[in-house]
Amino acid sequence: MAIEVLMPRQGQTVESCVILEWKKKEGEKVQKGEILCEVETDKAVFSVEAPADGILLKVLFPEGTDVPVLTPIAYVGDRGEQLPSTSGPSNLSSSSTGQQAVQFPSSTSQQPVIQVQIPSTERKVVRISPRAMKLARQHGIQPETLLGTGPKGRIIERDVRKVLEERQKSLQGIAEEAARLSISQEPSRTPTSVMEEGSTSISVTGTRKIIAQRMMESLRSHAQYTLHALADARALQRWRKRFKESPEVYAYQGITINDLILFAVAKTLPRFPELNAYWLENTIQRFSTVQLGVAVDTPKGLLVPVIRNAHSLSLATLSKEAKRLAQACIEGKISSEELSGGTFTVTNLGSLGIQYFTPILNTPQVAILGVGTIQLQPVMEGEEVQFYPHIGLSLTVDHQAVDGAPASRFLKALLENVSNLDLLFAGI
Amino acid sequence: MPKSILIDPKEVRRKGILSIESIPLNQYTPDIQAELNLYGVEGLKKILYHMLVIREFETMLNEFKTKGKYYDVEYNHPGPAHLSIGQESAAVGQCVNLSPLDFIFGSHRSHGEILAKCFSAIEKLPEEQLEETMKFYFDGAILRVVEQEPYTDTKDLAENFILYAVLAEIFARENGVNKGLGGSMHAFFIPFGSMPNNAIVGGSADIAVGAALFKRINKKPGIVIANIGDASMGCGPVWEGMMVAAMDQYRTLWPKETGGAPPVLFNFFNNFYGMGGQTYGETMGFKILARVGAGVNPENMHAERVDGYNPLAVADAILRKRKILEEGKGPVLLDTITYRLSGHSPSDASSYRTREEIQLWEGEDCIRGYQEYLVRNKVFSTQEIESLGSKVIEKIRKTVQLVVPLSKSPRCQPEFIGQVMFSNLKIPAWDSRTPEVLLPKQENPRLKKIQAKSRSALDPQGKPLPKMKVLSFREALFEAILDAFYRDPTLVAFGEENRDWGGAFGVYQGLTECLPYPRLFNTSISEGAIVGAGVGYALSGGRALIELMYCDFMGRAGDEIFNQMSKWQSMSAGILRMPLVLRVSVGSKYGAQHSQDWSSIVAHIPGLKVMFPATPYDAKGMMNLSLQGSDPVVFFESQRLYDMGELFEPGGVPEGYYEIPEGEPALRKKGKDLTIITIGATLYRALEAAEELSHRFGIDAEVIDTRFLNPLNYEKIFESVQKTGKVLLTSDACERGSFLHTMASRITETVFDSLDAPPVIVGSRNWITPAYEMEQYFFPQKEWILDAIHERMLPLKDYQPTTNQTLEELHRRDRAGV
Repeated sequence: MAIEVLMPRQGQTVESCVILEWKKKEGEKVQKGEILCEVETDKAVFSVEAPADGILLKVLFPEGTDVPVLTPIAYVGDRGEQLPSTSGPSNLSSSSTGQQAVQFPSSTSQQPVIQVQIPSTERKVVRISPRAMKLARQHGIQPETLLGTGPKGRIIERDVRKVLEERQKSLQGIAEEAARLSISQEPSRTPTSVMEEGSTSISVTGTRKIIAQRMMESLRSHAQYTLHALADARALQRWRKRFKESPEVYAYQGITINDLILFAVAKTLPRFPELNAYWLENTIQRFSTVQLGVAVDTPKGLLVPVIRNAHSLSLATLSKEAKRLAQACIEGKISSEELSGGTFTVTNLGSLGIQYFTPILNTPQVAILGVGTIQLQPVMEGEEVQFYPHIGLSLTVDHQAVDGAPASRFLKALLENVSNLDLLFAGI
Repeated sequence: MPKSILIDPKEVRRKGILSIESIPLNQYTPDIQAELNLYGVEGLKKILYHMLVIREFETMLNEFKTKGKYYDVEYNHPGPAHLSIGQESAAVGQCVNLSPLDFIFGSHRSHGEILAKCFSAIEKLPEEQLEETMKFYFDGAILRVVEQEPYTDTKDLAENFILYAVLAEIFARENGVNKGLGGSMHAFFIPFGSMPNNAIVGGSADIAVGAALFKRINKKPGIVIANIGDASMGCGPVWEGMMVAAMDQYRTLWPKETGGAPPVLFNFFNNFYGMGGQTYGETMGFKILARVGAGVNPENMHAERVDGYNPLAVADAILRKRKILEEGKGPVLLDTITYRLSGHSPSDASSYRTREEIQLWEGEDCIRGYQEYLVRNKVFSTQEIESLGSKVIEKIRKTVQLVVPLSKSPRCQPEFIGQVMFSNLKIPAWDSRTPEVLLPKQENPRLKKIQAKSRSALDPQGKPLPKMKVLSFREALFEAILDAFYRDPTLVAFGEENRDWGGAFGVYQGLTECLPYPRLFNTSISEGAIVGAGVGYALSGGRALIELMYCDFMGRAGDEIFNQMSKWQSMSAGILRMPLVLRVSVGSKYGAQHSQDWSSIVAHIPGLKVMFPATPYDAKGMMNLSLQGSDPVVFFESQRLYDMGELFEPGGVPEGYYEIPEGEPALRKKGKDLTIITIGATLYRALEAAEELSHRFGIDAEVIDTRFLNPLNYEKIFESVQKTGKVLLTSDACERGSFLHTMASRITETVFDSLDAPPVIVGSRNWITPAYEMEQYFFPQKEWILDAIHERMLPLKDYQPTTNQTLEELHRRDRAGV
């Protein structure tokens, strides 16, 4: 009997995945462990490996299909083997919307497990009448962007017409404005001719699409402001050097500046639970543990794995964990669970020379820390000016949850801890 | 209720005794001299010849059924074959004294009767007429096949023609008498007086009464015989047929010139068995079937038991009884005893009778008995009989050789069936004589009253006029019907309370004064026979307008509507027409058994045209259309609307003649936001809903009145829904299984991409109709329409529904079955 290849379940909460790309064709030879296809959830892209050596006998679903987890998607076996009859996909529509309970796996049994309701970001079923769909398509309106006023929230013709009317009105407004300012019209080339010269069209799909939607959503629904501060980086540099030169047996040599920052954040946050929270429209959920998200740049795009209970970890463990997660992301082996449940995020562009920036909130978290590069800054030492290395810290906060003063107090405390790392070590 | 016949309480309460006249049993005494005088040697010989033909024909079928082979021809006949081996003498004896103008209607076991009647007609008709009949039947298709085989003369050819065409019919071939569409149980050949045979037990009884009425009322010669079995005496249509045939009024109220009672003879071929049930001693109580005549009228229906095993006894009985019928003193009942040696059907293992009984009857075999009688009386010699027997076998074998090969006798094209479901002809009158009437049309008192009224319900400024001054729906119907009575001399109307009362809802008021009894009369309360007689009348060539007082009574005429009225045109491959209009009314206010709308049930049955006008203009135009056609129409009228005047047609209902184009819905109100489609009286509630949608919500609804269920041209409906994208359908029929679902499904498939919402159906609750005081919970209301629009189609601003029209509620009802 041929071996079933199942759609893997990446995490307890994932109900289905979209097949992005088949790496192998029907009839092709495969080896155990070879990648058969890539699938994605809303968080990441995963690979599905061949369970055994053999021929890819049958591919059950084409690229682009959203398949429920644990459903067979292919068969591997010897040429000519019998395939069990499948009744076919029973429900391939996207999973429904709704709140999902997320459980944080606890590292020790004493750790409290927090149940948090996270608004689902999985794809919604768009209920829209054929008439409205036709009209929307004709005018390039995305059905997902429409608000339905039909029975049970169905998008119906009048909803599309409303958007068209508003569009018409705003276009008219712009036209009138332009006329008033008498902007001269160049005999312009038509948009299409400009488009055709030397440009590439990239379809927005997969992770890019997800990032785009999340970022827009974040900016659209949160009142974001950023506080910039410079922390004295001498302790960071000193300790980095110390660890680099430490005996191999301790395995401290890989501890980076960023690890030290993460450590400082993890130790500072518990005193400022306001910054370690979720904005949930009608409630603010504050956490007593720190689940620290670390932004990782991968070939497929930005991923943010989460270090569990970072506040309780030693620097060495935290560093190891950060590395492991980053590696997993780059290799495309990160699990869905590892990507979720963060309460605070740190994102570091310092290696690229960025001094300060305005990171965008990883909603529903109320704060995100951007880490910049280390640069010399003048400091008064008595009567003289000295130049010492400083590191840029940019803290973006959701003003809906946290005002400027409390956010600044946290940032100030963080600056102090970063300058006095050794004091933090005493508390491990 | 004729005022002329008084019911005197003193008379009816008087003490007395009812005596019943004796009923003769098997009183025929053979008298060879008398018989030779009557029939001659040739005649007596022919009787034997015909019996031998039937016996061999049935035997041949039996061989095919049981062995798959007859002589050297192999064939598998999968269809029915209810054989009458042993009953030949009854069938042949019956036809000896019948002419081709006499009709016989039969049962599922009628091969013998068909052959006997046709062979008897061939004997009696001149050669030229036989030639013409064969030449014109199906444009000579059958003749072209049979004339290729050798024959001695025209009569011989005609016999071959009949044998071939009847066997071809049984074997479902195009050259069958009904192109293979009737088969063994429905075959017939009208030119020789063989009328439709019915697979429904007793089905021929009330149809025969209708045919007899046709002959009587239209002064056509001949009598009508219903050949039904003893077990059919348990059936409603048989009893109802006898009741209608035996009505006193033919002699007490109808004009003498008409000629009295319809000339119908109920000839029960009593072979003592139904299928396996034995009427004598098991399933019936009469012991001697002839007794039943005593239960019908003082003449005992002139009933007699006749020895069907002696063909001459049967011939004699027919001769005497036909005189009674022609004098208008019918109906007649005969208990013709016979016996079938073959089983009910080839699957019959005769588990219900003993070997002994069969052998007893074999011992009395009617053919052997008659042969011996002829030989004994030196009419025929044994050798002559033997050579006759060989000739018969030869004839049957030749027939088989022509019928069996598909190359010689192919089947008809399947799509042909669709072509004969309806005849779609326009026939203003079925006879050319002057219609019999009692007054000139313009002197009709009701017509004069109507002519003084306004043709429209609205004055020229559009304001409503008082009801009394406006032409009503029922009066519009009256005008159409009156017109037809003056145009078509064959048109008759009958049912309950038609005459005098003028119809329970007043449609026929004014007709009593202008029509003689035979054209407008009341029948007994026999819904089955009312429709059945209408069927018989129509297929005989006359137009019948039949009324069932309430649509709910259609159940009482179920077989007649669903198996007879709807199917004879097609089962006869288009030979028969069915110009029958059945008017039924949809009630309200009268509760569970008097307020139902069964238009959906009727629309489901193939072969029926179904109409449901909702305005006076449509009522007259659609009645005109129906009364000019050749197809059966079930014509629904809502009792709520009989009083209504015309609100839509500018100028109101025309005085002259006009027709509504068949199958075309009517646009009642133009709109652009949503479409409401109605059948029947819900039109007016839909218009109220449209009014409210407009002034409360600024929604412009389009309203379409379907008015035709079958046939139906959806074009205007598709256009409308394509325009608005939203459609709601409503009628007073119960929601489950409503024709509205058929329409919704068709609309969805056709204009799916233009739909802004799935179709919404608002029908009556799937309950019994409650009392009038609670009707608003049962029938669709204006509020239900608005609520349903809000819940399932287009939520209305600030609207509070007052009833539950949600999809979830429909699901709950489905689960509960209500």
